[in-house]
This record gives sequence, C-alpha cells and structure tokens, in this order.
Amino acid sequence: MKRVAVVGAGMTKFRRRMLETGREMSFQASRMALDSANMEIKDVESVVLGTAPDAFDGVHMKGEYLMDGAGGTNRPYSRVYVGGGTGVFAPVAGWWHVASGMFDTCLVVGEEKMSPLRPHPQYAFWSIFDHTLERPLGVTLLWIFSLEMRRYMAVHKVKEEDIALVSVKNKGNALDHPCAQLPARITVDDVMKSEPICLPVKRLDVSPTSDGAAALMLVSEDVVRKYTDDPVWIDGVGWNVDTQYWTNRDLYYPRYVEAAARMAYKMAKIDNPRKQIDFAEVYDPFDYKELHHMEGVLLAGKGEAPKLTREGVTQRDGDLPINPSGGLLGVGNPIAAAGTMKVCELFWQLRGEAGKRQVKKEVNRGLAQAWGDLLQVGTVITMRR
Amino acid sequence: MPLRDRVTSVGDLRSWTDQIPFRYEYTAGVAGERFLRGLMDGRIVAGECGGCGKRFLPPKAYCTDCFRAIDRFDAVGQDGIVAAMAEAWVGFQGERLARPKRYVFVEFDGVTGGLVHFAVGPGVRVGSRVAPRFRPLSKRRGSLLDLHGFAKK
Ligand SMILES: [Zn+2]
Repeated sequence: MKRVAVVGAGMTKFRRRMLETGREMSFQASRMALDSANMEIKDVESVVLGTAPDAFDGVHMKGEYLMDGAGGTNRPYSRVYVGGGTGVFAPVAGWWHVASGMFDTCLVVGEEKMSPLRPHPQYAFWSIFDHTLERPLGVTLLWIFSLEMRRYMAVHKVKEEDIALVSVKNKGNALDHPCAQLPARITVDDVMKSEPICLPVKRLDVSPTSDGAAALMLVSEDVVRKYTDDPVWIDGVGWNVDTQYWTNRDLYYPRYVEAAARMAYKMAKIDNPRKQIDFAEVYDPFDYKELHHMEGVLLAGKGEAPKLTREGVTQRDGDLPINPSGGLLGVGNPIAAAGTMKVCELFWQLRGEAGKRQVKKEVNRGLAQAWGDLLQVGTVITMRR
Repeated sequence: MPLRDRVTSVGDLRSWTDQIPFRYEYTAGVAGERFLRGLMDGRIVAGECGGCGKRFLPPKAYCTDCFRAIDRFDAVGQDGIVAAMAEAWVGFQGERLARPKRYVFVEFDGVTGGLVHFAVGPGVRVGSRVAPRFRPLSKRRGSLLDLHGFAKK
C-alpha cells in the first residue's frame, strides 16, 4: 500500500441559504484546495465526491449533477454516500483510490445544499424511516435523537447542564472560524432556556441546517515532494455500519463508532488513543453527540466525557481539545461538507495553519469522525505530521 | 408470494397509500442569475473563461476545462443554428398531443454548448438559422420561459 498525504484543503462559508448552486460551491472549495496544494486540475487523476440525500438539493443523481463543479468531468469520478457519515467517508474513499496504487492524486469534495427543501430539510429525513412502523407516528430525526440523548443521560446519570457545556464551547470556538454560520458567546443558561424542540433537545443543543462545500487534495508518497515539504499523512481509516433496526441496540453507546475507530487504530498502530491522539474533531450535530462520540472513539471511558468537558480538558487550550474548529454546532452542518470540514481542520491544525483556532499545545496526530445513516454508521480518519 | 397468485383485490391486504411530500425553492446560482437576468433583458448570456477564452452556454461560474472561476458574462450573437430537433407527440402524463411539442438544440457561433428550447413557427429544421423570440417585456419573470423559443430567420 502507498502512503497517502493530504496536501491541500479548502471550504466555502457555511450559511443557511447560499445563492451559489451546489456545483458552484463545490467549485469554490475544490479550487481553494487545489490552490493551497499548488496544483492545477490537470494534476488531478481521480475525484471522489460525498453528498447526502438527493432530496436536499432537489436533484436526483446529485453525484452526476455536481461533478462538473468538483472537477470530475472526464475523470475517474465517483460519489460515495453513507448518510451523515459521508463527509469523513469521502476522504476514506479518496484514501483507497491512492493507497491502492491506482492513482497518484485524488481530489475529495463534500457538498450539501439543504436550503431548497420546503418547508424544512427535516422532510428529507422523514422519508428515511420505515413506512410501516415509524412514519405513521409522524417522526423526525429530532425525535429519535431525543430518545438517544435521554438514554445516554439515564444510563450515565448525566445532567442536561453538562451536555449544554458542549454547545457553549463549540459555538465559542466558532467565533474564530471565518466560515462559521452560528458562532456565539452563550452560557449554559442560554441553552437551558432555549426553545424546546423535542425534549430533552432544545434549540441550542442542535446544529443548524446549512449550505456549503469543503475539499481536500490527496496525493501518494511517490509524488508528494512535487507539491509540498510539509505533508500531513493519513495513517488510519475505519468505517462500520450497524443494522438499520436501531431498536436492536442500546442507544446509550455507539458500538459501530467504536468498531470504526478500532479499525483505524489498528492500521495506525494506535493502542492508547487517549495518549497517542492530541486532538479530535468528532461529529457534533447535537451537543450530546460530541460526548457520545468521544466515548465511541475511546478518547473517554463510558460516561466519562461529561466529566472531561466539565473540567475543561476538551477546550482549545485543554489537554485534549475537541472540535477546535467550532464543529457542526458552531461552524454549521451542511451534512457531507461538515464532515469533510472536520478533516480539513485536522490538516490546518497539524500544519499550524489554523490561525486563531490553533490549539495551544503542540499537535502531531488528530482524529476526525462522522456518524449518520439511521443512527448506524461510524466513519473515522486519523492523520499525523 | 406474488400478490397476483393469491390475492384478487389489493384492498384485502393491509395496504395504504402515502407520499413523500417534497417541495423546493431553488436558486439559479451565480451564473444562472446572470443568465436569467439576461433573458429578462432580451439577451442570451454566455460566460467566458479568462483562463482559456472558452465561452460557455448556458453560462457557468467556472471553466470545466481549465477549472478557473468565470466572472465575464456577455450576450451571444442573436442568431443561432439548429443542431438537433425532436417532436413530442406524447405528453408528460402519457396523453396524446393534438399538436406536437417541437424541441430544438441551438448552437451559437464561437460558443461551447448551446440552448435547448422550443421551435416557434414553421420552417425550423436542422441547419436552420434561427433567432430567439422573447415574451413581451411586461410578461418576463426571470425564467427560461421568458423565451418562447427559436423561430426561423
Ligand atoms: Zn478555461
């Protein structure tokens, strides 16, 4: 297998509603990734694009629709999709394009344009439920997440106030992100008093819907020196999909995320993640999900993540910074683009190019993780200097 | 068990109808906005790549060849040439049409791509030189249908 380096990254602003089409956003992110890698489109041998349900953009065959903007025209191009896990899965797929020796270079793009769907993007999620057992209840994804959040709280005796600390931290971190949609200085009290959506989930516990795109440039060890003296290496990848019968597993713990992390750790020869990973971008569409996923990727023991958060360990200047970008809660959540944004953040942090977001301690290895489908997929990448 | 083998009426089963009620509000995008505003002004606007000089219709915000951003948008010459044509006798719901809908693909000099639209009036054939026919100014809404189609010159 070839070693695979990331040599460029780019992203658009994340916003509630962009004038730009999905193609145009894909282009902006792709062009920025190429520019940051000192590459031109002729240097791109293959393209992988990740984007979530066609129902958001309102264009079926969205992969084909978007490909022009992602530089895919007349190239070996493919779209990958594992729901909300797509944004990290796309770079995983890009990794195997290059690691396999098939290509020396691969442009990876994550895109989502959720704003066209009326009356709300939640409609797209309604249609993913079982038409016999779930849809008659008028379910939304918020409903299922609220069940999961309360199960987590019940098993570990976690208080809502502890969970709210995640939202306070991430929205605060996003104040330093030039692309952020919902940066804010808020308090635990603000979260607790925000509008109930589906309790225990309140307005400030949840990320927004967004439009945006993010992109990465991957190259093989054989050509990396042509483009940079400062590569960041992908040293572990993992993914795992659990059954869609989400009622057949205990919601308090994402075992499929653990399986994905263990796959990546085996490849990266990580036997003590808490010691060997310096910071992480875990998937945080809801504040409790950050805690859930810290435990899933084994950066915290079961039920330990709220305590680490309370003690400030996960702050940007803490011992284990989590979501220094501001995450989905602060930067925004254009589904597939949000996951790819997390991998971009690893690149910028590991190169020391994160500007005001740069974590305080020296960082040599980071982890990005996304999650999705019907509470059933985990996707993981580890990267190092 | 295929339904047909054993069940003579679907009503005998526990079945129900449901729908996935999606509605959309689209934006035309950066290049699309220029294109639609052009139609309101009675012009067909193409985008020109500053990198390789290629002109695209419909306009794009980026060049698919050299992958540069495109920010130059100009009207094409008013005349085009019909490159292809089709006549639809069956409508969207499968109904027979009394008069066919005639579609043309029109190319313009010096422009990559072209425009698909309706043929207007008699005499339009492959190879015909055609000109756009716009709706009256007061009826234009910034839509592809601000254009009636293309008529023989
Ligand atoms: Zn060009």
